Amino acid sequence: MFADPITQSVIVPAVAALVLMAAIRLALGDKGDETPPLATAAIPIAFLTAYVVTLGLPPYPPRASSQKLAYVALIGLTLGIALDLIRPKGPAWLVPLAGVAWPAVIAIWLAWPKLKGFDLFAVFTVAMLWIGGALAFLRLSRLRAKEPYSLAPGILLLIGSVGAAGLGFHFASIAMAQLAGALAAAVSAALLWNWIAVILRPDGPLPFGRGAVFGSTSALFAIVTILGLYTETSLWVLLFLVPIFFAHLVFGERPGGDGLFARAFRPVLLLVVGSVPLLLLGSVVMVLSILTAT
Amino acid sequence: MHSQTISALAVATALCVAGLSAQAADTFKVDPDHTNIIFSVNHLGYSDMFGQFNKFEGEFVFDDQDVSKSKVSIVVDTASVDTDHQKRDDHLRSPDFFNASEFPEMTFTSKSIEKTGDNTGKINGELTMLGVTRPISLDVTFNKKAPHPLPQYNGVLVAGFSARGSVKRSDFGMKYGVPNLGDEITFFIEVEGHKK
Repeated sequence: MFADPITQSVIVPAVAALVLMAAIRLALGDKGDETPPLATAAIPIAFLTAYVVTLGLPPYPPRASSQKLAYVALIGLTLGIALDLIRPKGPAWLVPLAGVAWPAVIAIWLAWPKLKGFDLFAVFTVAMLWIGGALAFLRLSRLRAKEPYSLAPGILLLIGSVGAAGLGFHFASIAMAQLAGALAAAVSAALLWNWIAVILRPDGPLPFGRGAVFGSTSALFAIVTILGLYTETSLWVLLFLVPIFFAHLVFGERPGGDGLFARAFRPVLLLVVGSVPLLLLGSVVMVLSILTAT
Repeated sequence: MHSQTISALAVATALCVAGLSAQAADTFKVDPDHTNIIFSVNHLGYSDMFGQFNKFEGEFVFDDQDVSKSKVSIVVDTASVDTDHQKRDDHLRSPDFFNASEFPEMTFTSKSIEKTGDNTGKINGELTMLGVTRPISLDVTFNKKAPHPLPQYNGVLVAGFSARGSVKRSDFGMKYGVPNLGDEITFFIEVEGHKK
């Protein structure tokens, strides 16, 4: 039943995200600012569910990078939830510090088999991936802090996940493509929930908690790092994913105001604009493929 | 005089025994031109797909007087996987399967060898794949040990064997596609070695 790739990477994560979001929301109720961010932690949990359905339970300790990926998502989720709980009273620099340090830890851990062999290209690749990852973590954390009810972090993660899925599919790691697809499906389910909610009222959506930001971004960053280190995917091609996380800067504050029409179509507009780097990425991959073939 | 003769005989006997045992346990280097490491895996239940590894090196000690003293070690370059289909080979090299960039080598080392028939035996050893080491048993048939008949080989002693065995890939953490793509990998190994 779960052996079908579409079930593994679309149906399971989407259904799991919706059911878990509803369950967490119902179980914890609305207790002010602290509880609602936990509901979107359903996204990384749904991703982990899809991981288990696709690749089975990862062993402990993990040996291969694809096994470390599950632990990265789980630790990222835990770190994010901890930051959500600590942050209201904790220092302001805590989240940015985590946004810079955590992707470095992920990249070094995943690249360790190459780094311990003093592979200079691997060191350069890890450094570049870390910069790209840190920018994504910082940007999404900033968006989440600025507009907790905004759909923007989810939309940017969705576009990034679709890009990673496409690269995984093109560069022969179908498992990574499926897992990136699973992340996209889980984020899409949460976005659908929140899009309907935002149409109904501006503060209707379940806020994108740091558990969702750190758990999902960790999973995406780990997938991209695995593609960059252990497949034929070019580092330069992967760096095209970074501008996606800045698409929101194209707009001013709440373009179109707070009317029903603006609330309904602002996320769609961001989805379109954020997809431009993805189209560029697709074109570059196509040109490179043609050049390589000739 | 008598004691000198006995001593001479003892030395001669010792030398002969040493010579015989050196002859009985020869070390051979695997000849990659006449060795095949082939595997098969079930494809969606329709058929068994075959592939092979093109790059490997290894050696074996073969003692035909006491087979239990024989031993084998082989290192396979996982990036050399070849199923006669470029896209499929790229996929097999990816983190989904052999993960060749992260785990460039797959190794087999024998731990014990037992004789099961006139020309057959069982090699119990350890296969390390994807950083995981698991026991594996290979059924082996001794085919021939004789000087190479072609003049360009200068009469080098050659030994040849056939081995068969199987592993569950999920035991090594290679779980992608199970059960659609078979869990069991069957090995078909034909090996020739030249005496070092």
